Amino acid sequence: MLSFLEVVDRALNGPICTEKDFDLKIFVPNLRKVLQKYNIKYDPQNPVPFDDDLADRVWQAGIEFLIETGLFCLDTERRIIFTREEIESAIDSGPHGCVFGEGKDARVVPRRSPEDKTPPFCSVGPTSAPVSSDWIYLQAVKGHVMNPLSDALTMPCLTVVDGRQIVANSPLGIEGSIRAILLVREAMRRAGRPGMAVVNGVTTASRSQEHIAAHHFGMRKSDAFEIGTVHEMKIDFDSLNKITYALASGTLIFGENGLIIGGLAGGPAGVAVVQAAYNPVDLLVLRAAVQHPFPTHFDLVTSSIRESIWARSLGNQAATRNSTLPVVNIGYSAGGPMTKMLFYEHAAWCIASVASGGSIEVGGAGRGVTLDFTSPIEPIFASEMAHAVAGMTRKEVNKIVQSLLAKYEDKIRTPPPGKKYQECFDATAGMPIKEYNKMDIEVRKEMADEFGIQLKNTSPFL
Amino acid sequence: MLSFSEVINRALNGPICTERDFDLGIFVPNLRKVLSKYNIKFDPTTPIPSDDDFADSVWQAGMEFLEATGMYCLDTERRIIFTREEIEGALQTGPKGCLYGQGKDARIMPRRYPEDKTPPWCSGSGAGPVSKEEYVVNIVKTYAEDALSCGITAPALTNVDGLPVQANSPTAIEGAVRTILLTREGLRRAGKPGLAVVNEVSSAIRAAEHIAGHRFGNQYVDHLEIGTIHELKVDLDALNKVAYCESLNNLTFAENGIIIGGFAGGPAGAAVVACAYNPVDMLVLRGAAQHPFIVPFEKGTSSRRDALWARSVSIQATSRNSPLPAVSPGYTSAGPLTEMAYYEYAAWIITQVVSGGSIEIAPPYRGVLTDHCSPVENIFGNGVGYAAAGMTRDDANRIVLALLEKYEDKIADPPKGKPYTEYFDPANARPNKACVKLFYQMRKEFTDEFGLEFKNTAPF
Repeated sequence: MLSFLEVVDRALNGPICTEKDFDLKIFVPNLRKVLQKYNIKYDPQNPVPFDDDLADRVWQAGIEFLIETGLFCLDTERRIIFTREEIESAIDSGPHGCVFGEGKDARVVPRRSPEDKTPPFCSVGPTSAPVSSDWIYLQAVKGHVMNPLSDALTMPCLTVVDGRQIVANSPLGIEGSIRAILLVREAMRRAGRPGMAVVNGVTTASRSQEHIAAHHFGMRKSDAFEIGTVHEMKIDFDSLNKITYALASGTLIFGENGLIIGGLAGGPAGVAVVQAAYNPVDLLVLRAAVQHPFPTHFDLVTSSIRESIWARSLGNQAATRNSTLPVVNIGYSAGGPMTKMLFYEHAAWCIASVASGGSIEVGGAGRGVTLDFTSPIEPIFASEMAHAVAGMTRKEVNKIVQSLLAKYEDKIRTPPPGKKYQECFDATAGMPIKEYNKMDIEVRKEMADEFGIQLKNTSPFL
Repeated sequence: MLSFSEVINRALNGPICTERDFDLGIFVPNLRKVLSKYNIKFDPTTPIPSDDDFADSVWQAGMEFLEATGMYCLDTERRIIFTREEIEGALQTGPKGCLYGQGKDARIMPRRYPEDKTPPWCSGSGAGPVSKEEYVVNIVKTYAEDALSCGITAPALTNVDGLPVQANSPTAIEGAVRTILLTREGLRRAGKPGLAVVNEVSSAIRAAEHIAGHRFGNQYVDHLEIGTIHELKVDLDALNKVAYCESLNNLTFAENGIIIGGFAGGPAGAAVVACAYNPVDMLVLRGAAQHPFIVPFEKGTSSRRDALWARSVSIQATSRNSPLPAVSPGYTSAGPLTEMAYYEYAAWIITQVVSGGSIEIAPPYRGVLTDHCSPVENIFGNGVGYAAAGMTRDDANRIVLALLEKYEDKIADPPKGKPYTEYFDPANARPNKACVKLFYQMRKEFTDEFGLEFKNTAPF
C-alpha cells in the first residue's frame, strides 16, 4: 500500500483545482457517468436489496469513479489521485480483524459478508450526542457500557466546562476534550468494563489539537480516533494531522464518511456508489482499521429513512463483498428516547446494515442534536436485534424492514421528542423508570409476535 | 492569581475592538503617554545603564501601560483587561524557583537580580533550521555535554524524508514528533537523559504539532514555549497550548517577541512593553519563565546597541520588581566560525546576565540559515554567562562598549560563516581542529582583554 507520506506529498503537490471545479466539473459528471454505465437505480420497494450482481456493479462503479475523481484537499486546493493498481494494492494489504479494547473487554471487529452468521461488532453510546453536565455524562456513559453486547463505546459530547459553553478551537475545547475522556474512563471503571475501547475518540473535540491533547489523558492504542472525510470526497489538513498523530502513536482509526442524500452525490444510487468509493480512500488516506460510513438525508438528517437504508445496505454489500476493510455503520434516528418510534428506527437500520455485511454503532436519538436526549435502553435493544438477524437472508430482513418502516415512516418529519436522560432515568441510581422498562418489554414482545425474533435477555435493566 | 479559566472568559467575552483600533487607538497612545510621563529615553552611550531608579520607573510605566491597554485576542477581536490588583496578585503569587529536568540533570531556574553572583540559567544548542536528522542528534549531544548547560533549545528540522515541513500540515506533526525523538536521543547519547527541553517543539508551529510532539518526549521534563504576538496580542492557538500545559502541570517558557521599530517604537518603548509582558506571561501564558527577546525590525539581531540597551533596562526593571525569572534568547548577525559571532554573543550575554537575567543562546546569523548552526559558540556563551555573574553593570558596560566597537560597523553586512559540515565531523560529532582552535583563541582573548575567567567544562 502507498505510504502515508506519499499521500501527503500528493495533497501538497497534486494537480491544482478550485473546489467549485472539483465539485461541479469533476465529481458530479464522473458520478453521473458511472451511474449510467452500470445502470444503478434506486428501488424504494426493496430497502434491503438482495442482488449480488447489483452490489458488485456498485463496487465497480465506485472504484472507477474514484480513479477518475480522486480526493480533494481543501487546504492546498489540490487533487489526490490514485491509480487502480494503488487502490487494489490498498485493498489487498489493508487491515482486517483489528482488536479494539484491552484485557477481557478486547473485541475483534470482524470482516463480515452479506447474510453472514458472524455476530456484528456493536458499538453503543450516545454517538456524540450533546450532554449538559459532567454528572449526566458519567451516568449516561456508564449505562451504555453496561450493555453486555456492547463491544465498544461511542462517547457523547460535553457541551460545557464549569458552566462555560465549549467553543471549538479554543482552550475550552482542549479542556472539554480532556474532561470527556477522563469521565469516560471513570464511567467504564464503574461499569466493570475498564478495558473497553472508545471508537469515536475524542468527541467534544473538534480540531486536531483537541483530539491529540485528550489522547494524552486517557485514550489508548486500542481505542480509535474517529477521523472523517469532508462532504464529498474531500479532506483537510486538520484531519490529515490527526492521522499523522494516530500513526505515530499507534492508535487505531475509524474512517468516517458522512454522505449526504440530496448533496453532491445526488440521490440514494449516487450515495451508494460514493460510499463504495470511500472504502479504499479510508485505507489509503485515513489509514483506517474500519470504514465508518453514514449516509443521511440533507433535510431530515436521519439514517432510518427508506432512501438512507437502501443506500447504506447497497454500499455495505458492495464493500463487504469486495474489500477487506470491515464496515461499521453509524446511524441517527429521528424519535427521541422512550418512544416506540426510536426502537423501530434503530431496529430497521441496524438489521439492514447487519444483513448487508456491516456492523453497527447505535445510540443516536432525536437526530443526535438535542441536549441530554440519550438513553442506553434502545441501543441495548438494537444490539440484541443486530445479533438476532446475523445469518438471516437479506430477503427476510427486507420484509421486516418494510414492516418497521410502516410503523414510523409517516412520522419522520415530526417525530416524538421523547424524554431527556434525567427524565427517563433515575440519574442517581442510573436505572430506567418503570414505564420505560414496560415499553422495552412491549416492543420486545412485538418483535417476537410479528417477526419471530426472540431476543436474548441481556439487558442489565430488565 | 486569576484563574486561567477567567482569562479565557475574558478572551471570549471581553470588550470588542478591531485590531487596528487596538494598535493605533489604544496601544500606541497609551505607550507614548507613559514614556512621556516617566521620561524614559534611549541613551546610546550607555548600553548597560546602572540607575536603579530609572529601572524602577520603567517598571512602573510598564504596569500603568498594561493596566490601561490590556491584551488583544486576535481570534475573538476582544480585549483581555486586567486591573492593577489582578496584576499585583499575579506578581505576588507567580512561580519562582521552578525545577527543570529530572534526576541528576535537574536544575532550578534562579530568580536573579542586577549584578547578582548567582550563575545564570543557560540553555541553547546553537541550532536553528537543520536539514539532516543526524545533525540534530549531534548538535544537541555536543551542547548537552557541556556541564554548564541547564536545558536544551532544540533545533528545527526542516524536512521529513525530503518533504519540507509545512506548518499546519501532517509534515509538521511528523516533523515535531521526529524532532523531539531526535533531541531526546541526542541527550541520551550525551549522558544527560534528564535535561529539560525548553522550547518544545521547535519544528512545530500550531498547537496540534506542539501537543503531538510533546506526547513523544518526556512529559515531565520537556516544556512548551508559548508566545504572545507582536504586540500585546495572543491567539486561541497559543491559549490552546496553555490549556494543555495547565492540564498536564507542564512548565511553560512564555515567549515575547518585541520589535524595535514596530508598534513599540524605539528602544525606550520596547523596554516598557517588555516589562508589561512580565505579568501577562503569568496571567495569560501561565509561564514559569519570561522569555523576552527584543530585536530590531530590520536586522533581526540581539547584539545591536539599541537592542542591548532595551534588553538591559527591561531585565533590570523586571528582575528588581517581579518574581518571574527572565531568560532571554539572543541571536547574532555573523555566522558560525567567525570572530564577530563570538563578540556579538559575548556582548548580549554579558548585558543580560549583569542586568539580572538568564540566557538562551540562539543560533548565529539570526538563525535563518539552514545548517549554519554551532554548539561551539553556544558553549562559549555558557562560559561568558558564568564569568559575568557578579560583575557590576558599570564594568560590563565598558566591556560591551569595547565589543560593540569590534563588530557594530559590520552588522549591516556580516560574515556568513561556514555551514555545519565544514567545521564539524559528521561521523564523530566533534568540531574540527580549526573550530576548536578558534574557540580557545577567543576565550584567551576575552581573558586577556577583559579579565573573564572561564571554567574548563567544554566537551572538546
